[in-house]
Amino acid sequence: MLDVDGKTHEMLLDNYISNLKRKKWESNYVIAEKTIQLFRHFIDTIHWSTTIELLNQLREYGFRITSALPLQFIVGNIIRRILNIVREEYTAARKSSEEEIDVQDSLHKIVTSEDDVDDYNSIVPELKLSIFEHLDEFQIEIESSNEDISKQALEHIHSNEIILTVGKSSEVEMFFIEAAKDRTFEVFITECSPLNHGRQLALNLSKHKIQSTLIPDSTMFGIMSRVNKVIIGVDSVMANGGLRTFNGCHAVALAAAHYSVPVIVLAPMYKLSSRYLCSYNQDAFNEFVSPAGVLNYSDSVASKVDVYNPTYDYVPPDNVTLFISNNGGHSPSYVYRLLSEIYHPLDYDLSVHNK
Amino acid sequence: MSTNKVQKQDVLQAVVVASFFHKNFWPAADGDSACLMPLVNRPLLHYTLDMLESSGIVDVVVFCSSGSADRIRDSVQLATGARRLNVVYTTSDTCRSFGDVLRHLDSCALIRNDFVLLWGNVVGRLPLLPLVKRFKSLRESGDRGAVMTIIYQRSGDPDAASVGDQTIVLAADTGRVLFHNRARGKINLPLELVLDSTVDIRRDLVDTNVVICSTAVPPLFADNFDFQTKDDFVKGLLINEEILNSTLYAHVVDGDGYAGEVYDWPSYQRVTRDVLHRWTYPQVPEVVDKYSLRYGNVYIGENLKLALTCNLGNDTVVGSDSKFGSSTSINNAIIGKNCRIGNNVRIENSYIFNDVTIMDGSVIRFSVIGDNSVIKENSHISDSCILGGGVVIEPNTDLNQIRILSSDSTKKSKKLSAKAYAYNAEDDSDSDDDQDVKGLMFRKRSWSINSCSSSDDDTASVAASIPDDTCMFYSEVVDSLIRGFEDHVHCDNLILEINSSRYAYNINYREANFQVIRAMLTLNSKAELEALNQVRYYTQLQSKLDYFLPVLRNYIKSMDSCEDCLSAIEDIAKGEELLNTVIVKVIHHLYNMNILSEESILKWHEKEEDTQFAKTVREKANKLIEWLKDAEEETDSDDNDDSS
Repeated sequence: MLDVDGKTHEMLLDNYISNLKRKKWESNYVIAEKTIQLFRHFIDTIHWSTTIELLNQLREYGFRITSALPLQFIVGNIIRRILNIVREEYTAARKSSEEEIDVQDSLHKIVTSEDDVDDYNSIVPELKLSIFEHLDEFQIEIESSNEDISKQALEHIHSNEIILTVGKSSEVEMFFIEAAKDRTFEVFITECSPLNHGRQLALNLSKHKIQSTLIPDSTMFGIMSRVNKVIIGVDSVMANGGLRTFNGCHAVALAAAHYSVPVIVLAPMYKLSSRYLCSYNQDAFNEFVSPAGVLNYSDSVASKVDVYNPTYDYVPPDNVTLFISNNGGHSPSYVYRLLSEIYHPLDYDLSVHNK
Repeated sequence: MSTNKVQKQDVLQAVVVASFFHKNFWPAADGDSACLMPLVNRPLLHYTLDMLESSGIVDVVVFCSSGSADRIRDSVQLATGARRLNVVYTTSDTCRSFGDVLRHLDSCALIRNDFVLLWGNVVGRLPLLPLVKRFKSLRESGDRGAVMTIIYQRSGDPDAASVGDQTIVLAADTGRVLFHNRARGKINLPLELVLDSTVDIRRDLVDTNVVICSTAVPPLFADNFDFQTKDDFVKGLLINEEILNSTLYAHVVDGDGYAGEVYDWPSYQRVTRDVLHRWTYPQVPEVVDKYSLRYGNVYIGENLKLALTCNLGNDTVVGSDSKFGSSTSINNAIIGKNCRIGNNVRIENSYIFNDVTIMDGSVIRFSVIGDNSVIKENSHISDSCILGGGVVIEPNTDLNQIRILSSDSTKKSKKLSAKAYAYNAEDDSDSDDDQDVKGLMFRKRSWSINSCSSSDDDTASVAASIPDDTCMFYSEVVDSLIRGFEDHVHCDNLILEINSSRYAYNINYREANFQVIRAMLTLNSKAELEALNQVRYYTQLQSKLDYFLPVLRNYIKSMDSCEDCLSAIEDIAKGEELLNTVIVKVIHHLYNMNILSEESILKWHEKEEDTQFAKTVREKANKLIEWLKDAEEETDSDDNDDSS
């Protein structure tokens, strides 16, 4: 029985990894959803009696996935979040079963009491159920994160402002559409070559009667002096508050800094990553895809030209003015605090086994 | 559950032919399991299966020869992509060609639906499902007879060996194949195709060896037992379009994917480079295996021991668990897993397979080194050396353009040391002469690219200058004539024989005239020629021509055929010094025998030619022409005057 489960788990993991590698799921949102689905299944089918068994098993799977997909930060985020949910539910259940906690607990008592909870060894009835409930909440949070972000649109976009955005991001699109219900403003969209998905955004916005102008990437600097705000989406937010985002954003951020234009980044909480940019290994942070978008294979004298087509840009935290997440606005320097709120410090490194 | 799946109508199958039927990669990989040869440290077949898997195909039929079936099966089980595939193996011992494989498929009845047919050597990323869908809708809506869509890759790379090899004429709107010819140099295009503005004439296409076939294809192969290769099939279908009621279509990959076929060393080099340059993304080393990518397309495996002074240049892959000594430099090379490389070693533009040991001070350039080989100190291996598995090269050896095996299986190889035998291409009479085995392309100092070919140069040049069928026809005629002369076969029978080969190879009348004369003039083998001097050569030639007089009479009748005859003589004389010296005599002799008419000789002489050779030949013939003109005036003049 156990063996069969192990095998199906292997298969599920394999499928999941290959789907991600093959880019079957394009958007981060879908990846997040699929990851939750997978881990929900694991929690349901892994044979565990104590929480530590469950945690170790989940961490092992998580480690396998993250090491197979070092460039998919989002997967690691979701896994760490789920681990944290398990830990939180355990702690909550332990506390409620042991004694009615005094609401007026002293700080000292809280600190000392955490020590004996940390072994995750006692059996908690109904833990699975509460974990699932919490997972549901988490899923709803992800689903509604775009909506929650766009609700804050009116605080940031004012009438007759000129806003610049890069490429296409679903958060930015919703943000604009929401703001356009009340205000009139103008949007400049850079094409974001070689994928050129900025074109799609321009089309979508024009359907909502938003005055939008599509510009080539190269003219961004010239436009910048007229722009009131830069609003961009992001692939993931690094632990230091820097961004890993589409190719071309760094240039935009630098131009914005030159003209002192605020850069606002729309980042739902699940895009917060516990990873830092490793300076000694820049290339491992980026993803180089087929050069086909930059140069046609038939045009190139392929042996004589090296063509690179990186997917991402790193934008340092100094160039970001404000993050808007589903919980509100945060400054880049506050990101580390958010991280310790949503992830457990023990889960930062999935490869280390804690007893 | 599984039977349900099988009966579902729209299950798309792929057939992978994992036997190559050529020895292009030998001795680095043997013919049977060449599809397991590593390309960037990963078996070729894994790329193919991964490509199928990522384009959404589930059912795969792998054809392999029974000798290699177990190895292939074991290897496929290790492939990560293949785990999600439904792989069925089919083996046969009798298959000797691509055509045989399809006939085998037909007899096994493994094909239930339209299928994708490809070799186990295709690397790339192709959206196959939309192509299959288009093929299906084509059959349903327009052309019921569509049996195959051939997928080509457009290439702008002039270095690619196969660019310009084939000429394809496509209908511009539908992509239907109207004409296909695989020949370097001159080809004959039907005039109506050239004048038609709705067709594209393309010479920039490279085969990907991926085709989408309808279920009608295997029976077509079964019905036409002379189809051996895909080219035979294409040719046969285009010639007999009405009879077979089948049409071909082409799809050109340009921008929406990449597919490369690895069939010889130059294409191996090209595809390796494309993989390193990430055209095959996501089939790149660090996605499919555990590598990390550094700037300049350097892929570094796990667990390496690199000395501090070891230098890794651009476009390099180093497999995991390998060890590199100090001051070693590696450029443009693929190093396999678990290799031991000593100090001061230089490796450039080479492919080192797994578990190879290279000792201090060796230099390896433009070479392939098979699994488990050992290269001892200070050896130089360069310019298209191909080393098989398990070879041991003694210290201070210098090797150039050579193939080396670890054991002497054929007893024809030259022994270099206990575990290194040089393979001698000239002595090997078993290998097919018409197959031109190419070595690695390497650069000389002048920066021009040379390719090294191991087969005889003269056969290669002949094969390159005329299309295959004509070449076959020619050699068959030569055979008939030699046998006829030696056994004194009656000339009528010879004519019958030549005519039947003419039909078999579909040679037109004038081409046949041309080839028969050529054959007749080249009956002497090279060795015989060397023994003969000019006078004896001519007497022998004359006796042969006299013997074949009835054959000549049969073929050379009209003005046109005389013209063919003369151009054939000129063609042969160009390549052969002895005939060149007696060319005028030969023409005169043929005139005397009433084979060549007077007008035809005059006409030939008057024809303006640009080449230096043609001019000198015509100058030589001046005397004969004058004499002919005189003879015209005094018709009574004695014919035998000038024949000495």
